[in-house]
Amino acid sequence: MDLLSLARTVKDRVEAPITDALAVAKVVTDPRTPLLLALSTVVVTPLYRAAFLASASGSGVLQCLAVRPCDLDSLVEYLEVPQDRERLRVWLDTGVRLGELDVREGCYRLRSTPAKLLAHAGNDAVAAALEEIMRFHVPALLDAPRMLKEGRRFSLGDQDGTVIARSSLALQGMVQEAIDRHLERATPVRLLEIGCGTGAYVRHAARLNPRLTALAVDLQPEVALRAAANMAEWGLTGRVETRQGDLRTLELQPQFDLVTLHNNIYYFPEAERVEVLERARSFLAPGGRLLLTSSCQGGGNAGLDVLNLWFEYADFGGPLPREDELVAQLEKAGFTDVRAAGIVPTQPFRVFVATNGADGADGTNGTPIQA
Amino acid sequence: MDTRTASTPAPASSPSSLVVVLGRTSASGAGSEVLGGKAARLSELIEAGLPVPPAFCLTTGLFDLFLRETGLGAEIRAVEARDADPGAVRELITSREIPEPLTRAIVAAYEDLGRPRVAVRSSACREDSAAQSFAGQHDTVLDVSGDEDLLRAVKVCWASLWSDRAAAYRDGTGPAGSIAVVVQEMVQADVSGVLFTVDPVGARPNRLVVEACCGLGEGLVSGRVSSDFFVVDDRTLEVVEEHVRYKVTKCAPLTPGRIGMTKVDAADRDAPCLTREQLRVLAGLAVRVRSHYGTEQDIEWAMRDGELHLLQARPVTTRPSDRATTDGERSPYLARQSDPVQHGTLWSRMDIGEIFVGLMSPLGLSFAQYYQRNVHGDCAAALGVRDTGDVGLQMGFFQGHVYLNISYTAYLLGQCLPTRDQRHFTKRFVSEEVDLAAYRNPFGTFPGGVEDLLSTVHWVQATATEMLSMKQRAEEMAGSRLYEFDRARRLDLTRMSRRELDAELTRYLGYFHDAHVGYMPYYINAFGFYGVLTELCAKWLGADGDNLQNRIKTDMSSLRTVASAQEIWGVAQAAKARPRVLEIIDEAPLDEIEDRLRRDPEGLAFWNTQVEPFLRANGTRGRQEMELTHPRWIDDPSYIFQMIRRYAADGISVDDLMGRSRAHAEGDGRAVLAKLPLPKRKVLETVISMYSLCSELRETTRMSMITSIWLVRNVVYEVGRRLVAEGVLHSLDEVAFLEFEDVRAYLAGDATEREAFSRAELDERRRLHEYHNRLPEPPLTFVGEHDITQSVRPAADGSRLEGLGSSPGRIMGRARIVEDLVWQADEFQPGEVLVTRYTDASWTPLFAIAGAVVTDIGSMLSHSSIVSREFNVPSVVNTKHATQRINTGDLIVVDGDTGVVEVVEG
Repeated sequence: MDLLSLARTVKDRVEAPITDALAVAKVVTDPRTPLLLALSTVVVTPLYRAAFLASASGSGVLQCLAVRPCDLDSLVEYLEVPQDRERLRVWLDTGVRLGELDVREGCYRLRSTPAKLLAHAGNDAVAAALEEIMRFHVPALLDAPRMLKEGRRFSLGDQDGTVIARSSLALQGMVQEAIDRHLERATPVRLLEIGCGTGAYVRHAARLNPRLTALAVDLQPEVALRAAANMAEWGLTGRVETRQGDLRTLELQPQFDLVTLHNNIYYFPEAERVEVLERARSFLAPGGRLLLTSSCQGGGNAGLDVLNLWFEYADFGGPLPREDELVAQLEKAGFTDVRAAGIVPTQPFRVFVATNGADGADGTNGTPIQA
Repeated sequence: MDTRTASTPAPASSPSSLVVVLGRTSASGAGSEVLGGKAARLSELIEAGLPVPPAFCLTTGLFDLFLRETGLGAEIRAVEARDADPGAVRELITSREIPEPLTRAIVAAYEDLGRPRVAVRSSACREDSAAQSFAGQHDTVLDVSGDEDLLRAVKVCWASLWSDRAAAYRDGTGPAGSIAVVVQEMVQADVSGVLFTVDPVGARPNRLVVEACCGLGEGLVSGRVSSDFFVVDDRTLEVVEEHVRYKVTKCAPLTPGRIGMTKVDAADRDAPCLTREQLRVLAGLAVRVRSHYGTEQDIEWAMRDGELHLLQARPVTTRPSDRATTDGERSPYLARQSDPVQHGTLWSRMDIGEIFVGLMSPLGLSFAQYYQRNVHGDCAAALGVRDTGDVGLQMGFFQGHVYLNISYTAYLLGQCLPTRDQRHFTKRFVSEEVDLAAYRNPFGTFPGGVEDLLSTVHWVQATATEMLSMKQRAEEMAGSRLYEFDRARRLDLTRMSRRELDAELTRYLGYFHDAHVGYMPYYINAFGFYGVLTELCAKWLGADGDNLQNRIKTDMSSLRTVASAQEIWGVAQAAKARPRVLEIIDEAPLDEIEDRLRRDPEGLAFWNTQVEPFLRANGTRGRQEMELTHPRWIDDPSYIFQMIRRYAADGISVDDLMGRSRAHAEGDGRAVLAKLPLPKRKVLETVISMYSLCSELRETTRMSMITSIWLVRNVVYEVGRRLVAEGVLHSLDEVAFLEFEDVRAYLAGDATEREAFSRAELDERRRLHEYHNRLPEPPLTFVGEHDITQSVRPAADGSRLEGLGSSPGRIMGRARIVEDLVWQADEFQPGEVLVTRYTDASWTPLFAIAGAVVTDIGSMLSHSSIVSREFNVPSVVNTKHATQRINTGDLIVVDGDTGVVEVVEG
C-alpha cells in the first residue's frame, strides 16, 4: 500500500475535510510528511484536545467559562496564579487553536460541543472519567515497558481518590439499577458499604428504604471524610455512620443484611479476593446477602482494557474480574445461591448477588430447624 | 471534705485502739467521722438499748494506718492522678497483705465477739447523710467465718470506697475520703424486712409500713422475692392493713458463705411472715428509734427464732408525695377528660394479646407507652379502621397496669362491619364487676352518613385484601422471624459501639412495629369468626350448639401454644433416652444445667440437636411478654428444665399430655353438625375451618410479635450492663426502673451515662413501683374510675367460690397454688388442680398435666380458658380469691360447667 492510498484511507475514515489533496501529493517526496500529517490528524490532535479538556475541566476553567465568558485577568484570579498571567494565556490560546475555546474582545468562551457538555454539572462523572483516562490510563500505556525495566509500579498514591470517586459515578445508572433490583424495601435493612466513595449509592439505598441504616467505609481517609460531609449535607448522619477502614482489618459483628462492593473488587489482588469475600461474608447475618458490582473483562471495551492494564502495573489490586472466575470465588468464599447478571446488554458491567447461606465457618447454632 | 486528713490519728495510736466495740463508743468520743455513718448509728442504737446484733468497727483510722504501713497511700494517689479505672485501685487493695499488727487487732476483736458467722459491711463517712440516699452503694459480704475470710472481706469493703457505683454517687470528683468497716454477728434470719415510719409513697398519717419476706433481706432489696405487706397504726400498734402473699422463694445461705435463692418450706408459704404480736413488738421498736432521732426512719430488721433484731436505721431522705389522694390516681386516662368520658369509660386489661395483663415495671410501662405512641395506631389501621382516632385515648395506665380503652376502641371499631354493633366487641370484656345494662358508651356510636360509608368501603377493601393474602403473609412473617432470631443469636452486643447498638434498637423497633401490625388482622379475624360461629351455633343448633364453639378443636398440634408443650415433651423424651443427660438435668442446680450440659460431650450433642432447635422455635416465649424485665425461656431456660424433669418422670405419656379425650370432643362436634341440613352444615363447616385457620396463623404470627420484644429486650439489657459498669445502676435488676425513652435517647446521642439517666428519677420510679406492688390488684374491667381505698379485701373464710366456668367437666383433686412458675414447675404433680392468679402462654406446658385449672382472674377467652379447653381440663376462672382461700394440699371440687369451686377437705 503506498502512502497516497494511506492518506486517502485516512481521509475517508476521519471524515474531516482534507483541504488540499494536491498539496498532499506534492510533498510525497518526503516519505515522513504524510505519516506525520496522518498521525497528527487521526491521533495527535484528538489526544491534545482530550488532554486540554481534561485539564480545563479538572481545574474548573470549563465550569467557570460556562457561567459567563471571562477575560484573562478573571481567570488568573480564579485559578489564583497572579505570577503566571502570560503562561496561562499561552495555555488558553492553545485551547483556542485546538478549537475548544473561542476568544472574542479579550474574553474567552466555550466553543466546542464537548467542552460545553463537559462543563455541565450533570456530566461531572464524564468529565472525571476523561480526567481519569488522561491522568492514569495514558501513563499506563505510555510507561508500561519502561516501568517493567525500572521495576516501578503504580501505587494507591498515584490515584487521585477524588477523581476516581467522581468518575466511577459514570456507572451510577447501572449501579443504581442493581440496587433497585436487590434492595429489600419493606423491612428495616442494615447495610455495610465497602468502598463508599462519595456515598452516593448509600444515599440511593437510604432513599429507597427509609428504615435503612448503614455503615459506609472507605479505605482512603480523605474520601471517607468527604463521604461523611456529604452524609451531613444530605441529612443522613443519623442513619449512616461513615468510617475510614480496611475491609481486611475491620472488626464487626455479623449484623448486616446487605454488604455492597461497588466497582472496587479490582482494588484487591486476585489472590486475596476469596479471603476478602469471606471477610465480607463474616459481617453478614445468616441469610444476609452480598451485592457486588463490577466491570468485567472480555467485553471488548478499550477503556476497560486499559484500566485492566493499569491494575496489572499497580502494586495493589489486580485485573478486572472475569464473570465466571468471580462466581467461583464467591462460592469458594462460602456464599450460596450466587448469581451474575448484566444490566445493559452490550456493557461488560455485571451485578453479582450471593447469599450467606446455612452456616459453615463458626459452627455454633448451625442446626437446621423444623419451621 | 477530705476526711482522711481530718481523721488521721497520731502515728503513735496502736492498731487495737482503732478497733472499737459498738455500743461503747460514746464514752470514747468516737463519732461518725471515724466510725462511718452506719457504724455510728448502730452504736447509738445499741447504747439506746435497742436489739442490735453485737458488732465491732474497724475505724477509718485503721484503714489510714493500713494505707500508711503498706505504702499504698502513695500508690493510690499516683493511680488516681492518672485518672485510671477505679478497678485498678481496688485490685491494689485486695491483693495487699494486711500488716501483722493490724491483723492481730482485727482477729482479737473477732475473738472477743465469739468468732461467730458475721456480716462484714462498709461504713462510709458520707454514707447515710440526710441529703442523699446512699443505700447499698458500698459492699457487704455476708455469712463470713474464720480469720482468713474475715480479713479478705474487710479488704473488699475497704476497696469498695473505689467501687464504680460509689464513684457515681460522688460524681467521680474529689478524693475518695476514708472508710470504716462494721463486723457484725450474722443473723441467720427466718424472716427479714424493712419498716418505714412514714408511708413512703401514700403519705397517709400515723401509718408504719412493714414489708417482710422469708430468709435474708437481700432478696427483698433486689426485688426478687415476694413479700408480705402490713400497715400498723403508730398510736395503737394495731395492724390496720395486711396483704399476705404466697411466698415461694427466699434468699439464704446455700452453703456456708454462699448466698442464693432457694425455696420456702411449703408450710410457710401462705402464712403471714409475722404474727400480730411480732408486728406489735417491731412497730414498738420503730417508734422508739424514731423518737430517739426525732426524724422519720427507714429501718432494716431481721428475725430469728421469733426474736427481732435491728440491722440498720436511716433517716428517710425523700419527701413522700401525695399520690394516693390525687385525682389522676383514680383513672387510667393520662389527661383529665370531660366528666361523662372520665366517669363513663369502660376499661379492661383482659387479654390485650395476653402480653400485658399483670403489674408492670416502670420500664415495662414506659415501653407500653412507646407501643401506644408508635405502634397501636397502625395496629388499628391494620384492622381496616379508616379513622384511627386519637391513640392517646386508646390505652390507659392505672396503678402500674395497662388498660385498653374499650369504649373508645368499640367506638372506632364501629367502622368495621362485624363490630358495627359495639356489643359484639364490648361483651368480650365484661366481668362480674361491671354491669353492662347500665353502661352507655360515652363516645357514642361512630357517625353515620358519608363518613360511615367511606369507612365501610375501606373496611371491605382492607379485609378482602387481607383474606387473600393472609396465608402468604403469615409465611413471610414466620420466615422473617427466623431470620431475625438467627441474626440476633450470633450478635455479641457487648462488642458493639453505642452507635451500632442504636442501629440495632432502631431496627428491632421497626420489626416490633411490623410484627404487631402484622399480627392484628389474625387476632381480629379469629375473633370475628369466633363471633360468627357463636351466633350461628345459637341460631341453628339451639341448646346443642351452646358450647359447640368451645368444643370444636382446631387440630391441637397446629396450635403453637399447645405445640410448645408437645415440643417440650419431645425434648424430654430425647433426654430420657440419654441417661447421662437426664442425670445432669435432674441433679444439677437449675442455674448450672446449661453450663454442665455444654461441657459434657453427650450433653453438648443433646444441646445442639434438641435444645437449640426448641429454643429457636419457642425460646423467645416467657410470661407477660410485653414486660421487658421478664427473662424469656432462652434467657433463662430453668423453666424448660423444670418441665423436662416433670415430663421425663415415669408415668406420664404423650397420650396423657396431648390426646386427652380429643376423640370425644371431635365426635361430639361432628354428631351435632350431622343434624343440620347440608347448606347450613357447609356454612358452619366453612366458618369452623376459617376460625381454625385464623387461630393457627394467629399463633404463628404471635411468635413474630413475641420475638420482636425479645430483640428489644436484648438491647435494653445491654444498656443496663453498661450502666452497671458505669455505676449508674447498682445491679442489673435495676433495669426495671429505667425509662424506655431515656434508653433510646442515650443510644441516639452522646451524653454520658450519668447525664442520660437521672438517679433521682430512677429512685422515684422504684418507690412508685414498690407502692403499686403493695396495692391490691385493680379489677380486670371497670367503668370510669376505681378508688383503691374502697377496694374490698377478701374475707379469708368460706369453702365455696363462684367464678366463671370456662372449660367443662367436674373433677375432685388436691390443690396446688403456683405463684412462681419457674420455681414451682417441678413440684406440680400430675392430676393436681392448678390454682393461680392468672396464666399466660408460658404456663401451657403445665396445663398438660393438670387435673383442673382455677384462676383468680380471667374471662371466657383468656389464656387459661382457651388452653384448658384445648386440653379438655375443667377450668373455673375469675374466682377473685381462689389463691387466698385455697391452700396447697386442700381437696377441692372444680365444676367447669357451673363455675363453682368447693373446698371439700381443708
